[in-house]
Amino acid sequence: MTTDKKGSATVSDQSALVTKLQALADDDATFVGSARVISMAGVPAPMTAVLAEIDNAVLERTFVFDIDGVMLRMSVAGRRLRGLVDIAGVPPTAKALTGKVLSQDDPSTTKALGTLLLDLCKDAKQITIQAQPAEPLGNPSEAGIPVAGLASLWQVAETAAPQSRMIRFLSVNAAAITAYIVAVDGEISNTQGETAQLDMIWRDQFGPFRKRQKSIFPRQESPLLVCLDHALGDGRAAAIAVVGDEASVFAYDPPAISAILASWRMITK
Amino acid sequence: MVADALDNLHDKHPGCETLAFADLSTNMVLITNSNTTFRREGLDSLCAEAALAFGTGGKFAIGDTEAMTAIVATRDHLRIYLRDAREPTDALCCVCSHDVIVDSFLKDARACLEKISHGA
Repeated sequence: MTTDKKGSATVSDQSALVTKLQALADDDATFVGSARVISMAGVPAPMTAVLAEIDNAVLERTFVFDIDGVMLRMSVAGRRLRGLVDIAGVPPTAKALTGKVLSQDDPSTTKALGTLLLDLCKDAKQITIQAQPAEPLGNPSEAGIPVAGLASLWQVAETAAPQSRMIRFLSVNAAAITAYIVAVDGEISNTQGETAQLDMIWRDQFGPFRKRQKSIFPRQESPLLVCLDHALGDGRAAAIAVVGDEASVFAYDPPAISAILASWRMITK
Repeated sequence: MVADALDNLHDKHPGCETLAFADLSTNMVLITNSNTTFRREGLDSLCAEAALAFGTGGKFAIGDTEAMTAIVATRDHLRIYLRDAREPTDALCCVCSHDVIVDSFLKDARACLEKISHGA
């Protein structure tokens, strides 16, 4: 660790140390640079993930949330959200919410912040967090609002309800997945888009493919995703996916393969 | 030359674990990168899965058009198969970790296969 002239650790050193300690403490976490991914491809539910991080914050910290490129610096302490320190990447009107400590006596600011967060999280593909040393915000005696109060005011579930992983995966990749069939326990439960070719794959090819693949890799179980570019002609790609008792056949745009694989990994790991 | 091409691709992408150049007409792996940890049976399985994914005997495994790239994502790995457009029985079988940068790897793997198949 580098020190200043008096031999004290600098703020940037402390920040790096916090990041390293977090990485060491959480082997299963995914990191983008030095930021930890808390929600990807809608899993877990973005707002629930944000609230969970605040609820885990005992010491006073500044949390830097990156919601698809919008950066929010939030002051947290004692499992409470104290307020928004700064925000970047959104229209200037949101700046009006910065620098204020949230209070039960001023629900309008808290509600407005909730509206902003809900809007940012609505279709968020990826949310990361970095915990940094606390920055001054308001009077230190102003405690902010506990997560239970925020969840109630913003009407957000504190814990994520179980959802179909397959539907979540398909939904978050909706821009790239042009059509799909979903089956649960072998019965088609959901379809979207033009599925004529996908019906053929599901009816005639899915079962034989899985059977032959299992004979090659007998110990391979779900989750499994198989993607083939151009399989549907006209530059369109097809994929089959299996996770738990859910299966899917879907059509996708080949250039999106990297994002599709990343979200599949996040949802199934 | 072929071994060098495979080793170069392997060395360039830290997430790449094994590379095998295969002939799908005979279902045989012809050569691998130098320090693969795969045994013969494992390599045979990769070749068999490539043949399955790309279809055999004019029958397509998935869909109704020839694919040039197939990716199988399991819990532990990505198995990536590429075949050459002009020599469709030439295939590159790749085993990668999930950390591999897919777009970049696919581009380099395609160039590697082209180099092996046609000396480009």
